[in-house]
Amino acid sequence: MSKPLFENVCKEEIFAQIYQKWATHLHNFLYYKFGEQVNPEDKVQEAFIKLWKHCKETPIDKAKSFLFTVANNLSLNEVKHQKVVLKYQQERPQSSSPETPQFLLEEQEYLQKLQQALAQLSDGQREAFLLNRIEGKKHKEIAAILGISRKAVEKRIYTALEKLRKDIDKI
Amino acid sequence: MKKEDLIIKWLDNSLDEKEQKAFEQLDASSSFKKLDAALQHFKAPAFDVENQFQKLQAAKAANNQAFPIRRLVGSIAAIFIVAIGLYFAYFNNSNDTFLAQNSEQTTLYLPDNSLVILNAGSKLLYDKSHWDENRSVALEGEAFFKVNKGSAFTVKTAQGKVSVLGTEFDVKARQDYFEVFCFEGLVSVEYQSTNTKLPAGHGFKAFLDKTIEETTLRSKPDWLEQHSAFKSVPFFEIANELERQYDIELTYDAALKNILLTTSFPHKNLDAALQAITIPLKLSYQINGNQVVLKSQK
Repeated sequence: MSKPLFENVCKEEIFAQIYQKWATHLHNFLYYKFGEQVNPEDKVQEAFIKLWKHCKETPIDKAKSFLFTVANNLSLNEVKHQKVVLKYQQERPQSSSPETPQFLLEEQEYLQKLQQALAQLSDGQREAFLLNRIEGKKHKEIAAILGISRKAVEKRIYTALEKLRKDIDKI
Repeated sequence: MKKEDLIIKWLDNSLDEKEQKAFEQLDASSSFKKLDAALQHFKAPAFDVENQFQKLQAAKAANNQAFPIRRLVGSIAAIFIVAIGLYFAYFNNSNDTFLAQNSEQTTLYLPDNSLVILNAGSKLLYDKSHWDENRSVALEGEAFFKVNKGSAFTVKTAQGKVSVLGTEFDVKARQDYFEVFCFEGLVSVEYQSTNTKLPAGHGFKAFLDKTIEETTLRSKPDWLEQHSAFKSVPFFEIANELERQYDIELTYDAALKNILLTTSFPHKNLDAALQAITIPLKLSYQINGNQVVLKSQK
């Protein structure tokens, strides 16, 4: 047997490690970027199966970019610039005091505005912004996930925030 | 600190106390906070890593399996294609075989209407599809040919090759015995790399490392008229011919094998035939079913 030039991801335990480390990130990345209609769960599975098929040519340190690129391309093929709609959860995070009907209505309206405004953001802005705001990722982490510079992440998130605020006030 | 930097720092959750206060002073800070709180409603649905990984393992296994099956199907298809190709290359193109069993004669016409009569216990084989380019037959045993005029006609046998243009001739290619008689036209016999031309009425015999040229007055081989005639032919060949004509087995003393004998026997009367070969050699015979034993008379 000839020894591979680099350690590839064909070993089950290495593959499993990569899955543990990146599957959730990949899923959230797809969700925030493309929304629900691309079936992020399916895309994650497809990307990992593709990784398994190409495990011999893929060194471990390239596995992550492989996964994100594949999943991204798969999703891009599917959405073809449809409007991205993110679902918001109806049930409120546990609140201590009962709310007035008026407050609830206002909140409902606000969420709808926010939903529309999020759809207006570019894919790049939305993915970075939501990973930061919702998943609580540091700018540095997002930069690593998306494979862009930290400065670019800051820029995207800031522009996204400004844009959202303006859009919501306008709507 | 600039407003933008402040907001960016807030976004990265890295404001210190003083900066935090400055941020609170911004007129936009409350709307930012409201926005931030609302955003939590948009959280991605939970991704069940364990469960999804199980599903992935199943999909992987299916994928691994699918590949060899596809390959197997591919190989089977390839084998079929090759087999069909070979079938067309060899069998379909190929050889028509004609047989004359012991004690029967078979008459057949080749594609150019040339006549072939196979004597008992003989086999003829020719390539139907290439007949027009190559009039060639392979013969094991004895056959009479009446060849229509045309391109060269070749009879290949284990012992030698007989070529003609258009004529009537008889070829006998038996174990240790080779004989060609020409009845009309001219035939060319290639035997042990020597070429012999036989005009009509001439014959060629080869047995026991000898070759003999003869003449005949007949216009057809004798065996077409229900008897076999021999002129100075070794006894084993006469005995073999008798076995073929009557589909019997002869047992005789090996010393008789190479004795040259001139005789003839009929095809439809076993007693007469046996007398024809036993009387000249002073032998007696005994018939047991299809076994015949020849013994010297005392």
